[in-house]
This record gives sequence, structure tokens and C-alpha cells, in this order.
Amino acid sequence: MNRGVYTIASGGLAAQARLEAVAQNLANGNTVGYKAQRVAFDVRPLVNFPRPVVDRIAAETVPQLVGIEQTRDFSPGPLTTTGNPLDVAVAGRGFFAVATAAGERYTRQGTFAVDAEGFLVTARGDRVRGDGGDLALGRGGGDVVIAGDGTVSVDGGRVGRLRVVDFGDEPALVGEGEALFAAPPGTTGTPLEPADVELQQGVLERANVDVVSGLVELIDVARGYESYMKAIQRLDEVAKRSIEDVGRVG
Amino acid sequence: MIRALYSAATGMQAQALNVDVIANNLANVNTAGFKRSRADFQDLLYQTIRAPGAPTSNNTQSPTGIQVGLGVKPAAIQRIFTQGDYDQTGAPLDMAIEGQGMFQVTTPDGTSAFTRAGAFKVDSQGRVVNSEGMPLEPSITIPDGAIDITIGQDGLVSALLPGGTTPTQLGQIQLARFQNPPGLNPLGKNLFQETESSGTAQLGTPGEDNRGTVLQGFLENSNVSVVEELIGLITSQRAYEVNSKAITTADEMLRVTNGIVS
Repeated sequence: MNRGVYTIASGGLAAQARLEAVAQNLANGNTVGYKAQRVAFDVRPLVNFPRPVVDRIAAETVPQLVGIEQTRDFSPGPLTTTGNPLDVAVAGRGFFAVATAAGERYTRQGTFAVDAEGFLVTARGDRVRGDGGDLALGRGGGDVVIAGDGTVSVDGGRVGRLRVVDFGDEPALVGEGEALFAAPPGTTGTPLEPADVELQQGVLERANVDVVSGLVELIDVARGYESYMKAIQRLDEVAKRSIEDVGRVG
Repeated sequence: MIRALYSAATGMQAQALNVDVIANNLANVNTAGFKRSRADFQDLLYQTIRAPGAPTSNNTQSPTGIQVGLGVKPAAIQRIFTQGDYDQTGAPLDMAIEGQGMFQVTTPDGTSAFTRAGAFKVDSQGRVVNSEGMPLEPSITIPDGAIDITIGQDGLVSALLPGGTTPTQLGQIQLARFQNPPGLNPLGKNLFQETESSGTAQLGTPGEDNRGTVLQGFLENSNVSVVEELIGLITSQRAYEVNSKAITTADEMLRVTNGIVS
């Protein structure tokens, strides 16, 4: 069988992975704090290909496969004003730290609320962490002011400071869904000093999904996939011709 | 491929929900005491094809892994309890609350409900009731023939009784405050019910302990901003459209795949 078919098929699978990432990004176009997925391709030799290849022609036509690599685009999303005092956006670096049942997780989704016990919680109900553990606003229900450096005060009295953790320029964080990111083993974040924290109250960070380029990508993926399938068809025709014509006896 | 179809479908469902919430806000743009809602979304759990940190050879690891997202889900429909504008009506029993707090009324089944809609009236027995006829709690009765009803900032209700020359105190309005107002259960008819998430109602005198003050002769308009809602409507519609395009693309690719086997 022509090895080229496998090469082309791997390209088709890569196009599917790309489509899945675009669909995921577009579905989350209105998810606060969402970070877009990107799919990158690389070229790999077909595994188990006999080496070393002595024949020069064979060496230069080693069938290769398209491999899929995935990254996440952590660039900031656009900020929109909501006026809700418990909406907070990270306008600079870092992530909010959230205490979940599975351990500390990180998020840029600052749609917070207060639970019945007076703790600041995420939309999922996980408690948001401050410099001294879970951040409690108290049961008074007073005016909440969140300063740019993360200091939270209720009716003028300081109750704590939001813990904002930085993971560098290209965070190696793993998306767990529900707007949460986990730090893989070996990755540790740096809690930011007050001077480096940049928060905005009454503001939310929208998804960093560019809808227009998403649409263009959809067209690109569909047409590219079509080309792969055409190429497979053509190779199949070549094989058919070989069998019927070249191999004709008598 | 099939996953993309479903991811995009969740995107369309999420946007449809968003439009529902916006439509409800817009429908209540003139409802006194109405508080707008907002749909919050979160990405769904990821399907891990290759875990981050998985070995790709004897001495290399996949730095990020491959995880396929499965779309979006609604996380919460949050009610936003910001202050609405005031509308001067001049009616003596129209009240707006400046700041936090809610009026407490007694529903026909005897339970308490809470409202920011301060358009109160007097029923046949002289009780101060809301538009649905539910009496204010603690109840205040306006005697027949009383004129010049005044309600102070602290909720003190007084009126001139027939034959009298000095105002008589008729009672004091109390306001309920909640730890977490977005956790209240909306009952419709501008009423809310306390839940475990909202915490129990803390009744007290207006103006004390962060409770707002009472403003007589005014009503609090809904806090819906038409411009903001319309922008939300446009972006939701476009997001809906773009998700449908992802479905079309997935469908097109499936069609092409079927086409190579002739």
C-alpha cells in the first residue's frame, strides 16, 4: 500500500484536531476569563521505519506524519465594565487562587459572589484565597472595595488581600474546565507582591477568542481537509491503475 | 470531528440561554424594583488524549499534552443587585430604598417574602399592602380619614388623624438585609424568598447596620440598562451564528470523508 496515504490521513486527523479547538474556542466566546486553545503541527517520521536508509532516494522520501501539539493562548482578553462590586478582573499578570476539593486551582474568571458563611466564592462555589487562607468578607453585607493591589475592604475595614499567583509569560497550566487551571507537578507559581498586582473592580475579562479569525480558520480547515481527501482519492486511483493496467497479463 | 459538532452545539445552547436571560431583563425594563440577571458561563471538562508531562520519548516529555475541550456550560445566572434609578411619583406610599435592604411582606400562605418594589397601597382594612395585596411586615395600618402621611428616612410612618393637629406615629417600617442577596430565590411578582445561600433576613431600622434609607414619594426603577442589554443581544446572536458555522464546517468535512469512498 502507498505510504503516502497514511501521511495524508495524518494531515486529515490534524485538521480535525484543529476544528475541535476552533469549535471549543467559539463555544466559549462568551465565557469570562476563558483562554483560547491553539493547535500546532509538527512533522515526525513514520515510526518503525527501517533505518539507517542507505538509498538516497528512499532517504529523501521517508514518509512523514503530521503530529499535533496543543498550546493555550494566555494573552489577556478585553475588559468590560459591569459595575457589579464582586466582579473582578486581573488587568495585569497572574491568576486568582481558588481552593477546590482537589487542591489549589487558578482562574481568571472573576465573577465572584459571597456564600452564606460570608466567604468570597467563585461561580462554582469554590472559595477564593486571600493572603491568610480563604478570604472572608464577614456577614455584615457592607460595601466591598477591592483595591488595585488586591486589598479587600468591607466598609473601610481591611479584611484581607486577594492571592494573585503568577506563572510567567507562558504559563504551563492545564485547563480543567469550569474556568479552572491546575499547575502540573513541578510547576510552582509566584504569589505576586502588592506592587505587581493589577486588579480592577466592577470589571470582567472576556474570553480572548477572536471570532473573525475563528471563522477564517473554519474555512481554512474545511478546504484543507477537502484537499487531503482529494489527494487520498488520487493515490487510490494510482493504485487502481497499477493493479488494472500495469499488472495486466496477456 | 464529532466532538466539534457537540462542542459547537453547547455553544449554541449557551447563547440561546443568554438571549433568554437578556430578553427577560429587557421585558422588565420598566418594572419597579426589578434587578437584572446575567448568565455566567464556564468551559466544560476536557477530554485528555495525552496528559501533560507524559513521556514522548525516553528523555522528553509532552509539555502541554493534548486535551480536547467539549464546549461550554452555564455556570450561574447571577442577579445583579445594583441600585436602580429613582422615579419621583409623589404618591405618599411609594417608597424607594437608598442603599441595601428590602421590604418584607407576608404572602397569602403566611410565609415572608422580600421586595425592592416599594409601590405600596392601602387595602380595605387600612393595612399598607403591595400591589398584590400582601401586607407589609411589621404591619402598618392607616386609619380612615388620615391625611398627610409622612414616612421618614428611618421608616417612621406618621399621619394627621381627623380632628388632630399634630402628626400621630402609626408604626415603623423595617428593612431586611441579606448576607448574599444574589442567593435569594426569585418568586416572580418582584418578590424574593430567603434561601440557605442568601442567609437569613436580618431585620432592622432603615439606615442602621448598612441598611438603606427610605425615600418617600419615589420608586426605584429597574436596574436594566437597555443599551447594555442590546449589546449583549447582538454579541449573543453573533456568537450563536458563529457556533452554527462550526457545525456546518464539521458537517462539510464529514460529507467530504464520505465522498472518498465511491
